[in-house]
Amino acid sequence: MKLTAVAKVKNRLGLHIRPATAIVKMLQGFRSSVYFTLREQTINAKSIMSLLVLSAQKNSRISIVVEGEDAEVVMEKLLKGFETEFGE
Amino acid sequence: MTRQKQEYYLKGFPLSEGIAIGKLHVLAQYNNALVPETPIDCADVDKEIERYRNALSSSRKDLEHLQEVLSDEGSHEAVTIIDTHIQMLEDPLITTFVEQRIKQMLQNTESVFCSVMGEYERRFEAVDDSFQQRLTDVRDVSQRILRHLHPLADEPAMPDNAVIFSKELVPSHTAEASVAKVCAFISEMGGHTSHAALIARAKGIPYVANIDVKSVMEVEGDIVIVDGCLGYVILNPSEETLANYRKIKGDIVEQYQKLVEEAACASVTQDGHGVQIWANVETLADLRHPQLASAQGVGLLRSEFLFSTKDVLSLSEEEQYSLYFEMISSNPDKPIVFRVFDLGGDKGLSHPAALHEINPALGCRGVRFLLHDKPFFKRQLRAILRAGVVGKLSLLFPLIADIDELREVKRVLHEVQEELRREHVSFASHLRLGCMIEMPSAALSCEALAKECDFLSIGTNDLVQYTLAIDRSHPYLHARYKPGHPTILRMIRSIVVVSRLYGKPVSICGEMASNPLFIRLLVGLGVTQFSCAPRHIPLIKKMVRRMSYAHAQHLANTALAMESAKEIEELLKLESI
Repeated sequence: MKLTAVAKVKNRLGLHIRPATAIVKMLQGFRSSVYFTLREQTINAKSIMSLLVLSAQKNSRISIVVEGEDAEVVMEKLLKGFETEFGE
Repeated sequence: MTRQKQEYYLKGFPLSEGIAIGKLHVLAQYNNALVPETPIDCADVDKEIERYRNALSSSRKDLEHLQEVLSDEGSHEAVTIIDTHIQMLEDPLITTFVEQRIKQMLQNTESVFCSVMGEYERRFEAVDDSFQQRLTDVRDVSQRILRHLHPLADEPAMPDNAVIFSKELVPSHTAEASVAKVCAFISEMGGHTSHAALIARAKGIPYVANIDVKSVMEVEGDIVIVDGCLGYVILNPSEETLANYRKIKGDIVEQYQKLVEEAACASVTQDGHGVQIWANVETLADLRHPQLASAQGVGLLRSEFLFSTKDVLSLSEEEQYSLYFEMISSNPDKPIVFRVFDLGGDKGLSHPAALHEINPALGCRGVRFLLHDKPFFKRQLRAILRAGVVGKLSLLFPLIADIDELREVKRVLHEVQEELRREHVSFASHLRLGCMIEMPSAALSCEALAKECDFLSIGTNDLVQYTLAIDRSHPYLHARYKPGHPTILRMIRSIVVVSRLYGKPVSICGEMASNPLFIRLLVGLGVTQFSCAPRHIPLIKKMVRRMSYAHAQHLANTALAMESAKEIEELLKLESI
């Protein structure tokens, strides 16, 4: 299954090291591949180093693509994460 | 004849307080030129990959061990930072990508690794400045892996009592430093908010940054002095300077011992003027601080620090009640001034319902935050009132602007009391109420406030910030943050006079109350209550016991007559000698 969505970064300092670590940890154990696209740059969301390169500031809108058997759960978790600023 | 080398003072940014005298040890940094680049045979690919995986697993073991140590030391902030480093070791860029590259390039692992990291760093060049700093963490991890792959051959052993210098200090340098072996840090780059600085402060190791690399390299292995209080690094110190700093260092330790012994005595000036010293408390551990016994009571309980900021909004009344009850009942005889949540502004948490704030210092903070979210405010008030049945509690409201705000707050308190009464829940019905005076508007209208509350508490940090319009953590402007400014002294004086007129006690609880430079002046201005961190109590008590009130009054009058902050600073410096 392939799902797409757009999410807005709410964290005050953007997707900084703390939320980036939270995203990577959240995705651990899920089989789906997860990609984030911002400003024509697409990165693997399971890679903390790539998330940092993406340098998503507050209010930037990230396109999310999740593909795999557990895509539905993963997408739900991610969107909730963006909404709650990944616990920051 | 050997010529005595010239003593040299380098001025940098003080990032972590303290004084150290030790041997300069320059940390060898990996640079790509040090890494050999050799082709490998197809048949050796598996062996190289195996070697790489071993380096990753050793790095992981290092970090896990480090995390345990830091956790025991109670440096929670540092534990989170290292957690991110562990996540990086599992990053596909580090794991599968590097292995693929080894197969493609047929070169030794370290050179492949360096080229991958080099590419990564170049991608970072286009990234916004605020993210650049995080590259330090990535470099930290990659240096760690490289060290395991290819230990530096001629890395000099670290001497005991080392002053560590590095062009850029990475978090693990500070995290791994044992207090027994490392006495200070110096670096060329680095700021107050860097992860490395944060860990150095948590460990109490002095750290000075912004020190030029060239001047320091020449004295490797020599004795240097690091003054983390004033931000100096002293190269080739003369015997005299050394003796001076040894004395300062020795004095600090010895004096503290003496002070602690003396702290049990009453704080009365030589001419019999009594001054009360109270304690500021932020955590449950502070309540068990040995110095609390010598304090009059808890002069400021900062309730927002009892919980982690992210959880605070969702706290239930019961969660708060049980913690408050535990705290209050552990010291039922000590009066406690309980300040309600002081959130927003520099405390980091902005209210989710609030708009984006361009200027948080002037935004939804202090009581405004609470009045903006009344259910949240009421939950805390209910919990405090219920827990207050056991001890001697006073309530303090932060950042009150004027009498209207105080009345608004009192109305909410009244509603809560009514609710509890209707529910037949027992609660403390006669708490003393106090206002923080930390805005010029409150200071100038304190007569109205003094009439309608039971005590005042001057928060000097914000009062200075709002009066002089200076952010004290500003990297360029902090020197202009002057607590001894004539306007501040005059405000404090008028607050003291007004509160005396209405018979309401007034205390000082900002950083000024723990700064020895200001104590005599403040006593002279008529302040009779100070509240400071428990560890400062012995020193403040000693200062009070050594001073004469008549002299302090004379000093205060001299300072009040002055028009320039600089003149006042000079006066205070002369006094402190």
